[in-house]
Amino acid sequence: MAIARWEPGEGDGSLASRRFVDERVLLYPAMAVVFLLLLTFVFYPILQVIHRSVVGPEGFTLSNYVLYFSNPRISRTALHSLFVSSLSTVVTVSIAFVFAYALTRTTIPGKGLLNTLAMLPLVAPSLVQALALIYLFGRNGLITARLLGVEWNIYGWHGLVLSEIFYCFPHALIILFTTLSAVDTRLDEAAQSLGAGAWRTFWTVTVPSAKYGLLSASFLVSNLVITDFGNPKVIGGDYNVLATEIYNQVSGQQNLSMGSTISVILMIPAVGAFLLDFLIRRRDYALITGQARPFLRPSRPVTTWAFSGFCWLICAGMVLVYATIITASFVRLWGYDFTPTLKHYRFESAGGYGVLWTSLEISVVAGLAGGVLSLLVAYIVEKKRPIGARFLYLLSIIPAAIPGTVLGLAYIFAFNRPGVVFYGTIWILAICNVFHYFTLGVLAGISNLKQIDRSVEEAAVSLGAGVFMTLRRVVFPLTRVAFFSSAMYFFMTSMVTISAVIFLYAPDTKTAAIGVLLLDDAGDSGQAAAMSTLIIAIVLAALASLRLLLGKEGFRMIKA
Amino acid sequence: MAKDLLLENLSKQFGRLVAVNRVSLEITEGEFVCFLGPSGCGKTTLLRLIAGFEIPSGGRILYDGRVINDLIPQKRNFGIVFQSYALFPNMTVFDNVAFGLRARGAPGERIAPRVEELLDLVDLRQYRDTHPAELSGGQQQRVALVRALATQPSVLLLDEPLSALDARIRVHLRSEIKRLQRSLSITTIYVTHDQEEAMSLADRIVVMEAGRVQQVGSAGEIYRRPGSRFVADFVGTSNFLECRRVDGSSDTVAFGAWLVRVDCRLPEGRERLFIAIRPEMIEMLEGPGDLRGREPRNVLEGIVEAVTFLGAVVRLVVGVNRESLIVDVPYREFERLPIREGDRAHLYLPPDRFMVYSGA
Amino acid sequence: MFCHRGARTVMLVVLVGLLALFGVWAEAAEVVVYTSLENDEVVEYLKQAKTDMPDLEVKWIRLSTGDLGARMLAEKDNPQADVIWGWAVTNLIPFAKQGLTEPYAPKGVEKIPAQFKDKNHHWVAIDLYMAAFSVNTEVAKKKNLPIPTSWEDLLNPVYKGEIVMPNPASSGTGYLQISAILQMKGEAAGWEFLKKLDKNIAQYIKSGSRPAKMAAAGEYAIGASFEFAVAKLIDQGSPVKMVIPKEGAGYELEANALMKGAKRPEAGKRFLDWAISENAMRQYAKWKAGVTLGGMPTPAYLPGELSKILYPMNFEWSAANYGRIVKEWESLFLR
Repeated sequence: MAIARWEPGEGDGSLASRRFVDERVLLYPAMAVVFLLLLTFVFYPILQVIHRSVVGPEGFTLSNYVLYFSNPRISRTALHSLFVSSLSTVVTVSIAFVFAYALTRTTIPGKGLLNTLAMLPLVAPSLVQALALIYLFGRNGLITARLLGVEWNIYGWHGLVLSEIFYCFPHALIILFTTLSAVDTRLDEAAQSLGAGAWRTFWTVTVPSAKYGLLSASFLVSNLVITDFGNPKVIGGDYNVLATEIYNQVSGQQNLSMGSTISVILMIPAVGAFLLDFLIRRRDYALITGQARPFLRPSRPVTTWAFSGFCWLICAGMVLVYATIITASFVRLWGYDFTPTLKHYRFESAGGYGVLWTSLEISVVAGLAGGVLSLLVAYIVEKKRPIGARFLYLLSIIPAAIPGTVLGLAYIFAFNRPGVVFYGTIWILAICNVFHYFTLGVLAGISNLKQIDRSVEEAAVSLGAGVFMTLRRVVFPLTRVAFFSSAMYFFMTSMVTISAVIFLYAPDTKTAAIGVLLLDDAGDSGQAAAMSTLIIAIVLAALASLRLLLGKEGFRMIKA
Repeated sequence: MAKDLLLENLSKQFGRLVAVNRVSLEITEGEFVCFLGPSGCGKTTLLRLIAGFEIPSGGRILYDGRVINDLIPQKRNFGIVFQSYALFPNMTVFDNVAFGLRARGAPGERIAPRVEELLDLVDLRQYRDTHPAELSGGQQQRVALVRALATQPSVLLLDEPLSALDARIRVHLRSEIKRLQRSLSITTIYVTHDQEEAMSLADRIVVMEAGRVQQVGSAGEIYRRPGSRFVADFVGTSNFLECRRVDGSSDTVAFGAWLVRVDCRLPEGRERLFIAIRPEMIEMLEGPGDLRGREPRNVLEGIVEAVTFLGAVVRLVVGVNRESLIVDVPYREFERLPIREGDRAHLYLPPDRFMVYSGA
Repeated sequence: MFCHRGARTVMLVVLVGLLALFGVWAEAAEVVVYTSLENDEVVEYLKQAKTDMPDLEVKWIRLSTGDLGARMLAEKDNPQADVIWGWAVTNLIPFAKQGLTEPYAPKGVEKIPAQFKDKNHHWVAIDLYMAAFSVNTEVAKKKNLPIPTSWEDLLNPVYKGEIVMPNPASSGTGYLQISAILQMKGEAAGWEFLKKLDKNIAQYIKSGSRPAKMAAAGEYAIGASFEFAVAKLIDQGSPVKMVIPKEGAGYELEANALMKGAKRPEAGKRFLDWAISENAMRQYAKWKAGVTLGGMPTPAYLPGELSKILYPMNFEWSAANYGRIVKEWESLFLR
């Protein structure tokens, strides 16, 4: 069987004479641009912070550090931070581990719903947890004062730990869920076939095989807690931690030197935890194989009931928190007057809906910019791998080690000077958000891009496609999902972030999340609840529309 | 002048690793050549050098008399079929196949009939509007094949195209590829680690190991006269018997207590020698006296260690001199000789069936 | 297929970019105001400002008294504000002495009595606010707490952990309360009193109005705050009672000033003129215990004549000793 010869006709023909752009002409400038952006918006500001902490009117000095350690009240904040962080980590990771175990090793019903509910804290600013806890368990809380008639002072480290647990739970769950899914369940079965009981198997087989995931989750949670600003501000009471102390020094006392000093100190555990996690993840990488989930034997009724009960209890807690906030936004005066009202939604103290528009603007810009930039980096690192790609990758990982408050402060030092036109506008907020959350965007992008066959681009090239045609016809359509999930991530985090932007907002660029904080600060908790509700609604709406856009398949990639 | 592909002292280094080491090869137009070798031998790298995805560290590639070292892949017009098919998931089968034509600026009305014709060639016309994800592995590979052929490439390069498919489809597609190649008379280079594939497809086989070419020849040549111990071991199975020279003799070697006649030139100088013989060349005798004109020195006695039924052939493992020889006996013959494990066996090793290798 | 989606994304980006840039570079007349007035009052007052000066866009930041001072100090080489509006006179006096304000006599300043303005026109007071307790009657009933009538009453051990009070370093209300106590009792006895009071204090809050709101929410029984925060809560139906301490309520004047080095001095002056106009004063009168322009109605919630309720504060003393007192307080009481 033969086929006709292909005779070149009018207008087409061999590519021998066509000019092809060398892809390096695009690649290296793109890399240079990214390097420049990272240097300008991550490294330069951080250097400024460090500089500020060691430079006084006479030059190099360690007096700020001396002052820090010699002032017992201030140096206590470090201990407070470590304490709260450790305690929260232990509890959160334990709970999340059991939850993840239930989702991956048992056959309890309703896993999809449980998983979704567990992710709720991700759609709201961190302090929403604290607000709800005050409503429920505060001194005049619904549950403590009304239902149980018990008086419990929730302000302080215990309230803080509780709200941090809620806040960090989904982050820990995601990691542990991935870990337990990837680890072969057949190991458990093998152990049990050799006679080990379920309990013994759990401790000697399951937990050790998940050890890297446990460590990784622990580092992540402890970092989240130690750098969190919103929760301690609302529910910490007089229990000061490093993050709030930075704020007190900077915004309260305008003591920028002390603020920088505390920032540097805060970076130590943050960077340390991050490095350890990074080293561990590299070793653990081999375990993530992406195999199909094996068939699970149906669990015994006792197991099913126990785990179901546990999981539903946790989720009930989540739902309760959010139901409380939403309800509180609609009642006149929580605790005394539950008549429904819309008055909080007039936002009298906040000056109307302006802040929500600001948040939306910032989040859209951050979403698009972050999506494009992180995907670009992911593409270069994963697909192209030119010289310097490794270095670019390392640079992109570093923002994850920097606490938000520190970054915000760093931006003041770096950019609050005449001539820097974007300071005081929404642009600096958007930029700050992009680089604050840059790392995860890049990592998610890399993970998504790995799923695209390496040879596809080479196929296009071999068929005669130049750089632009390959990008347009092959690369862009295939990275669509990765782009949208990345952009969504930046959008979401921009809507709810507080810690970095708390230093950077100007009178007309307050974000909604900051609005919640300020309203709570001023005691207008009804309006704070209302603003929180709207933020949650916006984020959920965005997620829902993305899901519609991408379909079920693409949507799952966001969780990566 | 024929459009031959010439590789002159081609090398490729990645850091300290030398993946391709001074390979020289001449492939004539219309030939079907297989690069055969184990993983890591450099065959895929060699293919990628030819395709233009890697730049040579040394040496030259010439096509049709022109040096093409620096020619970008787009301009080489070599069709490539990848192991993972590499179809564009976001496009239909039609668009996939039409891609190369569109890249050349061919107008739509010329593309359509061409694509349909190509799809007919592999019997996939009814799938023209489906997406690759909806096709089976074998169907995807066929689409990949005609996609590569669409632009009438001068050379067709295939990188282990069938290794992701299961055995039956592999065999079927293999013959389709061969058929297509014959009818198009297109120069084809096919990379594989499967010797059966190589032997059934190729006009010539290039056996590679550690970046070097070990032997080039037709399937028969390579099989019957493996040029090195590696080839003898890699292509088909061989028994390697370590033996010693016998002083003053040029055709006898000592294998343990046996003196065996060997009808080929013994390499000079080395003390350690290996004689190699293929399992199917060893004959089973009914008894020690069942010579019928055979060379009596080449009758070895051993104990049967294992009997495995492989279908057309029964594979025996016979222990001789602390070595285990593999003997393949056609089933027909085996039926005549009821051999069981533990039995004593008499093996005849024809002197003209040996290859001799020296070395460690 | 792709192009359509790509074009839309590009358009969206461009659109957003334009919106943002428009925000940055719009040249409408605007003025930047720094204030310590409460958020909700500011919103109300600015509605009046919008009516009276429709072409002026007012951008404002609200920070509590101490924080605002700190911020303006930090910005003094490159002031971002044009105008200070409603800031504690105790803080404004030393601020002006440091040369950070620009003297300006707003239109109509002659109508303001002399004790409410600086003789060199560095500042003009617009209103006063005074200390008041916000006592949650329900909590008091539930826990059998007597309703306090004075500062002295607050020392009662039955109130332990039930009182919240502002932090004088950040909050003007906090400072006026401390200053009043120290002036009333004399410094030595005053600090002793505060040490005893500290035992009953559950938290020190950074904002002046929040203690009142926390008490209203039932979190604590008593919030030491200022009068109209409590009045507003009562208005909204919270179960609180306003208690003005018997010894006399410390009070603070709130004043306006023009920033030295303001980027928009003309707009600033315009705003300051409006800020002491009758329209503005009438708005202030709705909220405050007293305004500086005569002839304005006084609020109903005041239990008596202002002159009888207020403790006669020595503002010069308050201003001169601000730094020292705050530092002392921090070293003694900051947790």
